[in-house]
Amino acid sequence: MYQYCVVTKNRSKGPWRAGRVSVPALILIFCFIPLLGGVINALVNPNAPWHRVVPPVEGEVDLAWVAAQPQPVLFVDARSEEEFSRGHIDGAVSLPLDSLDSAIIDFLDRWQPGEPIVVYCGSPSCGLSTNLANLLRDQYGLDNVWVLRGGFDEWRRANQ
Amino acid sequence: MTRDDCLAPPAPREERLLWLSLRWLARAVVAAVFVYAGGVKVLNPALFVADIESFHMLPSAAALFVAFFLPWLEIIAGLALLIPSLRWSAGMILLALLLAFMVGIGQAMVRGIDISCGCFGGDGSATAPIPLLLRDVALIVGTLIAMGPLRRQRKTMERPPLDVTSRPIQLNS
Repeated sequence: MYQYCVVTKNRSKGPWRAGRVSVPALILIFCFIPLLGGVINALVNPNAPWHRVVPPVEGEVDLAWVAAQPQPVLFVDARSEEEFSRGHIDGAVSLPLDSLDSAIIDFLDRWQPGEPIVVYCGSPSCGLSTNLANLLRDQYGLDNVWVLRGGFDEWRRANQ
Repeated sequence: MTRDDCLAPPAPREERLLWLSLRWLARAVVAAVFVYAGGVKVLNPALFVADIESFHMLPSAAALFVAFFLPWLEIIAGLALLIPSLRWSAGMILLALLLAFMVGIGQAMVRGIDISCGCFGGDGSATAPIPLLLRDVALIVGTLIAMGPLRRQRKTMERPPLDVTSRPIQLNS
């Protein structure tokens, strides 16, 4: 008896099928449901950008606090030198974390004892500014060190 | 004869079990990572918007849209990876997302931008690009394993040659 292998054809897919699930079903699952979830989240989530009230964090200050200071503050930019060269707060000193040892000398030349230091980085959650502020407090013994809430983005928004 | 007779001879049982376990492990890990990452972002969209803006790739309106759409897509695609009929579609979406993340991290690295990846909802820590890229590569490998083979390889059997001589010749008398 002869043995033949009957290779069955794949199930007909057609233009509106991708495997076992139809394309409209995939669009529903992967586009419509996330879209619906996002809309509901935007409406009800208290942490949405338009609902959110940022609680004050210890060591963080905002631009209003800076403006209210009787003496000028020294802004310290914790971002990279490339980012600093593209734009920075007027009068700021660049103090990138990755080249701290070489940049700290320039910083100490500019800083007057007693002058408040306000460290910032790119965005509200960039984190570099907090790390640098902690380093300046712990390693260099500076006590009047603050972090600018919202970072450079916030300053740029306020000065547009 | 059934269709299974046309398939390649099965691998040894231990090997099949090993691959099956590996695939399910990869599915569970990748799904858990994406569901967790999406869930954290869903809970705190304001922080995620700031993280997206730190990449300096999208205008504010687009960043806002992505911040609300992407976390749910991650959750749905992560869960769909566990459903056989949706596995390949979900895998392709996750691969596309991971490649997009890598492009974002890569451009930030080239431009020297200080980013907060926001991968897990923005934990506020500065994130170095190289570990992020390595993590994405690991997730891509995990997703590829989780997706499994595209289709089972088939083996066609040759029709044996006719043995004419062994056949009795019948003559009409």
